[in-house]
Amino acid sequence: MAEREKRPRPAPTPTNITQPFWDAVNEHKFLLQYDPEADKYQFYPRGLSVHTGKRNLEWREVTGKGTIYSYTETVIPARGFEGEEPYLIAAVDLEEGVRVMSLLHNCASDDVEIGMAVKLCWDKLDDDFEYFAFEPDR
Amino acid sequence: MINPLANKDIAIIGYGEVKNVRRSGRTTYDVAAEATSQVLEYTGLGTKDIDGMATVLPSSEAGNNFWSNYLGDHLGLQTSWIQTTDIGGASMPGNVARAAAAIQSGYCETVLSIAAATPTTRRVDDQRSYRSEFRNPTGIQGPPGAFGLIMHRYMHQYDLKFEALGKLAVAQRNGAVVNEYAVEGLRKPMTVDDYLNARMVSTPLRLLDSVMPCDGANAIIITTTERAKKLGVKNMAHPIAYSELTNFNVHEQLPDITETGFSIAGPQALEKAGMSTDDIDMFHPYDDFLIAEMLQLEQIGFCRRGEGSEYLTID
Repeated sequence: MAEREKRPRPAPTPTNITQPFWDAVNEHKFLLQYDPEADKYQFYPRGLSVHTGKRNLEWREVTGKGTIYSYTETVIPARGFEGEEPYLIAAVDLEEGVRVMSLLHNCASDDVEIGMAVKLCWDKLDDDFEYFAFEPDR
Repeated sequence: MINPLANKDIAIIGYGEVKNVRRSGRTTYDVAAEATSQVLEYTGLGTKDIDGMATVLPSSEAGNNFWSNYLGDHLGLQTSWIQTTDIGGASMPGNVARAAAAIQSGYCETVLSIAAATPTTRRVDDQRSYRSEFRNPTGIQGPPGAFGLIMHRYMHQYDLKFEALGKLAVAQRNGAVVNEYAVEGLRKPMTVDDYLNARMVSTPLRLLDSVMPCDGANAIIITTTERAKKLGVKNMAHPIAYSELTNFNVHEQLPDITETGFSIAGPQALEKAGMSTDDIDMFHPYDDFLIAEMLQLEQIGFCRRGEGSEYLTID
């Protein structure tokens, strides 16, 4: 029997809303939508500000630094991650006041803890596309 | 507080239920038809006595933007009011409230509310929005991963005893053992140790914390209490209060993920009914993951926030 082919890691399909975000990610920059009236950021990218309902959003580059709000170690892999288990996922509170979830690299399962300082890093999905991840900010 | 259900003028007069099966090979329409036929037989009504229909949007039919129309056509229902509700496991109770409002407004008098899904035979749902860009590519193991995050955060803020969750798992399994409609493979007893020794899916969430998809259906008929009496119905249940909340904390960019809409909808429903948790003898939470049941107990007010483990392990 032929060996089961490993499915590719799912890549996002940029939309008219998220295209600037993904263009920036591919240049290793992380942009957030900022509502100047509310003086607040939001994540994920939307077609209006959830704070004021206005389409007054500006893209702003963030520091990429934050702390772990929660985490989980994935033992049964998600689709496209077969063979990589176990791996860590973290929900991270960025300094700008939004929460972002992704893979946590370069960290042993015994070392991860809530409140730990992390920073953004980047995963190559294929020749054309990268995705954001986190690693400890030591 | 306005409570349109206070005077008990709405009645649920019958139910039908299909045995839950993994990979039944059946269509959603077929399991819906079986549940409908049962509830009609139970109530003695015919398809022409139904003038309203409410259903839920299952992952097995989510690609059809005329789903309720097709389902009503399959079941032989001509209706003056029709509704698809897509709030997941809350859709059927949500439909009781929606049907009651439609009946009280005069749009219809007798509503068939039906939940039918065959996701282990066919899945055609396509959830875009943040899921395809900001969830699936991260590698998180779907809902078990999300609840793993919630459990670790809960453990950071409060005390979580896995023995308490195990006790919940055993209580539910005991229910399945005596329920002929439960998935057959799960109709055997389990122990707290079975729960504690179950394999991890997404830490600290175990396999036996988790919901399991299956194929099945259930249906109820809702009408006015007046009509129920005219029909000579002897057994009827009156819904007495309802509250719901969708997209809790949506404006908050750093929400407390251990807090849910139950903290608002739960106490509100009790207040509408003029009751407290002390008046409740039987509780049917939504039971996708064990931690979700504990959060519901806490947030509806059966115990205080963070004291769910203690509450569940009182002998």
